Amino acid sequence: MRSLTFPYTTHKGLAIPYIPLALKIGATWRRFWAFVDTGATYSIFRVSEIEDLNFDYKKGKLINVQVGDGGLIPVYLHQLAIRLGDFEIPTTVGFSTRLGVEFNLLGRKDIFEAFDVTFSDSRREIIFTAYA
Amino acid sequence: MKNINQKDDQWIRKNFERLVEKYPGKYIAVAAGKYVLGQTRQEVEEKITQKVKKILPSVLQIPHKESLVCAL
Repeated sequence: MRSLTFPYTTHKGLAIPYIPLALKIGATWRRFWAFVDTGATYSIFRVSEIEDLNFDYKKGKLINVQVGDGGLIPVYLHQLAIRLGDFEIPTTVGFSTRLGVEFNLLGRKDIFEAFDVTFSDSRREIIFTAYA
Repeated sequence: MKNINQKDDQWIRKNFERLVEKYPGKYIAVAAGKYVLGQTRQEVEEKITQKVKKILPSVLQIPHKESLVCAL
C-alpha cells in the first residue's frame, strides 16, 4: 500500500485542494494544477491550456456535462496517462472551452477508482492511497 | 519525459497568496527555481523552456481571489 500526500494550497486562511500533476497529451508531457473535485464525475481541463499543442481534442468522445448553474457544457473525453507524484495511471480526461472556472478539475472517474482519497482539512493535506 | 522538480510546486504554494494578489489571470511557469509570467500558457511555456531545458515546468493560470471561494 503506497500513498501520496499533497499539502493544500492556501489563500487568506482558506485551504484549497489544488494540486500539481502531469498529463501526457499526444507525445508531450505537460504539467498542470487541478482542483480535486469530488463532485465532478470526470476530470475536465481547459482547452486554453493545450491549444498550442498538436492535439486535436475534438477527436475525443463528445459528452455534455451539467455544471453548477444547471447549464450543459460540451466536453471531449480522452484516455490519457496522468502522473500524480510517482504514480502513472491511464485516466479519462475531458477538455472543454466552456469550463467556467479558473481551475482544471480532477474528478472521480479513474482517479478515485485507483486511489482512496482522504481530504484532511485538520492537517491541511490530501492523501491518495493506492492499493494496487 | 523531462524531470520534475517538486521544489517548483513548493515555491508556487509558498507564493500563492502573493501571486493571487499581484498577478490574477496571468500564467506563471516555474522550473528549477526560475519563473516567468505571461498572458498565455504558450507564452510562458516558450519563455521558461528557453531558460531551463531539462525540467518540466510547473504551470498554472493564477486565479482571481474571487474564484477561490467556490461551489463546484
